[in-house]
Amino acid sequence: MINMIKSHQKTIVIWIISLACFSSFIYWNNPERVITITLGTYVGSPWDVPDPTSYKLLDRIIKNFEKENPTIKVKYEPGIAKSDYSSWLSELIVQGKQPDVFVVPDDDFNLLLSTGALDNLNRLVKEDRFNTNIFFDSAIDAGVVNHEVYALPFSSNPVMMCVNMDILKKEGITIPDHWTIEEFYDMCNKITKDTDHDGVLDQFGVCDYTWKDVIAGYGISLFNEEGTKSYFNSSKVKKAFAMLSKITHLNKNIKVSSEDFDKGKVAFMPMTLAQYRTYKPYPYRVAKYSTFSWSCRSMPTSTSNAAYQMKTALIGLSSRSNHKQSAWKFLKMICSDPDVQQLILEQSQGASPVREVMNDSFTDNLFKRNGFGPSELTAQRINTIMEQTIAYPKFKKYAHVMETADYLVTLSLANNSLDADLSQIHQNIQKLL
Amino acid sequence: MDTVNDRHIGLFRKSLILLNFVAVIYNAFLFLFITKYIVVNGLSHSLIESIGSIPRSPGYTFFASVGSFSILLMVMYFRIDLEERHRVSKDLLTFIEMILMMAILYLLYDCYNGIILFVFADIIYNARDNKYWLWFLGISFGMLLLSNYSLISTIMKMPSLDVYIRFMPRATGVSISFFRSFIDSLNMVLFILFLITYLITSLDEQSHIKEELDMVSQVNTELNSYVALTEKIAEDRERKRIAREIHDTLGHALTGIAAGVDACIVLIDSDVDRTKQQLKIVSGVIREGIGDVRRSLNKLRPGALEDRTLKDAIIKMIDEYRELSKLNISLYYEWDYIDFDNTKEDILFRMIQESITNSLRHGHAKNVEINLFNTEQCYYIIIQDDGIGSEHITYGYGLKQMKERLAMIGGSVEYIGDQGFRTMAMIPKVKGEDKNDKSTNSR
Repeated sequence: MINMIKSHQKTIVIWIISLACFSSFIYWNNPERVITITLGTYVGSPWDVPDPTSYKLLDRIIKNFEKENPTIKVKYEPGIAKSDYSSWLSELIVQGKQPDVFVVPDDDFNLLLSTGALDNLNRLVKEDRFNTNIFFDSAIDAGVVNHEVYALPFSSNPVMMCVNMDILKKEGITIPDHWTIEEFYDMCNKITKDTDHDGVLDQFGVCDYTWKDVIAGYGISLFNEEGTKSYFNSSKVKKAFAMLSKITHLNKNIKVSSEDFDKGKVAFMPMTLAQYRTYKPYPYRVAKYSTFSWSCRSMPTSTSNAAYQMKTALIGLSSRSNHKQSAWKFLKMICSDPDVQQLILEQSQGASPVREVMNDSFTDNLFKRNGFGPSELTAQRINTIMEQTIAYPKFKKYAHVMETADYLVTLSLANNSLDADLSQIHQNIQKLL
Repeated sequence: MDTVNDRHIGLFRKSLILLNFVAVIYNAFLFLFITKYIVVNGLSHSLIESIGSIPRSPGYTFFASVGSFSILLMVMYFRIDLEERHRVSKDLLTFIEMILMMAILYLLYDCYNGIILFVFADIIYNARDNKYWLWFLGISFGMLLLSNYSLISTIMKMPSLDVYIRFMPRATGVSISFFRSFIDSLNMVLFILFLITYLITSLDEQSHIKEELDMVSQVNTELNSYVALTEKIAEDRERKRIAREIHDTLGHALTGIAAGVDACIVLIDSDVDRTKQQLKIVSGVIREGIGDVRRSLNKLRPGALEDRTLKDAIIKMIDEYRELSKLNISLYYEWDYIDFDNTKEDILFRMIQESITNSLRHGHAKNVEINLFNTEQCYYIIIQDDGIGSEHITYGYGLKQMKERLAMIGGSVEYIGDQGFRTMAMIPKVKGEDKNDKSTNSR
């Protein structure tokens, strides 16, 4: 017997190897095999507003997906707070245990992209003949680098100007569909006054209007696309900052905060759609803005083609995933399925990045039902705002550089020495790039 | 001397195996350990910010690299057995070792490239009789140079172990790095020691082989002179035989003839009848002498022609050449109805034999064609080979003798050496040889 084994050693080895190959082939290609994909996500809204229903929504989406794809199960770890999410995901990545599909943390897209954690979706997009034009340009752009898709948008959050309608009515001001920064300044100038004549200003034009808003309003790019050059010292930037100081000086050194807006003392305040949708309907309205009527407009811009940057929440695929096809199916469904997107739009606070969903009459009704009122924030108006937006720059150091720039500019603004400091700031930023 | 060196080589090889095993486990373990440390201390995000590319699961890195190394060790251990008993090709095994080496380099993110020296030490060790060890050495150092992390990471993004170590507390980090450099340096030293010992051994071996070759060539010379001596002895013996033969036959006959003719000179004037009788006797002696000479010459004929026809002899010779060399000889024989006398047969046979020998020895031919045919007046021999030929034919002993021999029977020969070598001979016919010749028969 042993001799027989010895004499057929080679044949036996070849048989065992081919049998192993064959059975693994059968196993991997078995259509009945149940695949479990993991999802990385956090509790609540991506837009830092209260959202008590997020898991309910997610469970419903997953249930629908599993019903449609019985061979795929989706698992996720509940209870990760948004503030912990980035480090939680990093821990998993470092240990090589990252989920197959994950929500990209706010400032980590560039980092995850450059370290190869995000999979290039181009092949899947092409194979699936998936049309990326269904998304608003700026929404899909947030996940695209050099024409390569790395993540898909599932929710967007455009910035708008919140308006205290009572003050405007009292001052007899109407806002045109497109308004320039100069017109905006004139309105603020007209509104800012001492109503009770006690010698202290008590009605203001604007609060929380930052240097980033004015830069965006003038349509200025602070960096080139590769993130190797900054333009802080340009004449355009100087002009924008001059306008900002004019607007700030209207308040005569009085610090105006969002609290003053809540009390009805301020006419304008920039606000994201998510904040607006959270605070506008009952019950938050009662807590925050019960004393006056308010609405939203697009931000004022110097020219009609100046574009505001829009925050977009992205979902990506792990480059180390073993189930890319199934993960892609799930990812595609969350981001592009009109029904799912409508559900997300209804249950959470942002805007849908899918054009078709935002143009739907359902959305219009949804906004009206939420107490937005017929004349105020229509779906059509949000559409127009979203079409005008652009995505944030995507070079690796953007978040870090912007943080430093914000610190330097804010400090300089507080010291009232921006004109003198600008070239120094420019140099400092350039050094960081 | 040799055995001591062999023992040293074995020792260095074993030390290299042990050291590299420790090195692979140590480096793989570092990934596992530092990852744990980083996760526990919440440094994951800054780690991702510092490394160029995200790592694989550290557990996978550990088991895959240690596993690959174990397979590599197994291949090295069973190598000789596989080569000799199972006839697995040496190149295939070298290739497998290289693949495993690259796999380990890749799995450990190129953080330990001492494995290159280790594998090449084994390849050089197993290629002992190979002349290419210098090449292997060159390639191994080239790979060592190319596998430098800072070079590779510009082409292929990989996390660097150094970045991981920087996350450790300073003192720990320093000792970890120190131990890594220590392993690297020790590996290098062991490799160089192995190489030097190997070189010394192979040089010794070479001089040993040279000595043996010298001895063989001396024996060869001795054998050559012995062969020459034997030939000389054989020649002498043959000469003596011929001398004896001439003495016994011709000498005897000629002496008798001389005496008989002398008697005739005395008798011719007195008694013509007796003289006639005497001359008849002399004539008889002469005929007898001729018979004796014929018989002697028959004894001196080529061995092949004894008791055979010319055709059979030639075929036998061709068969013998075929067996001795890979020469392909084709024969076209049209002399079936021709009856040569012995002398002619000898000369023709010798000539054909000489031509074939020349084709083989000087022309290095693969094919020879022999054409033997005749016209009404002449016999023709054309022998053509496909060897290197020669533009300027120098007449050596063989060709000259061939010419002389043919001249003896009234023939002539020509040589052409531009396309292979061609020998063409023409011998005039003598009456009565051609049994088919009707003109002869009718006369």
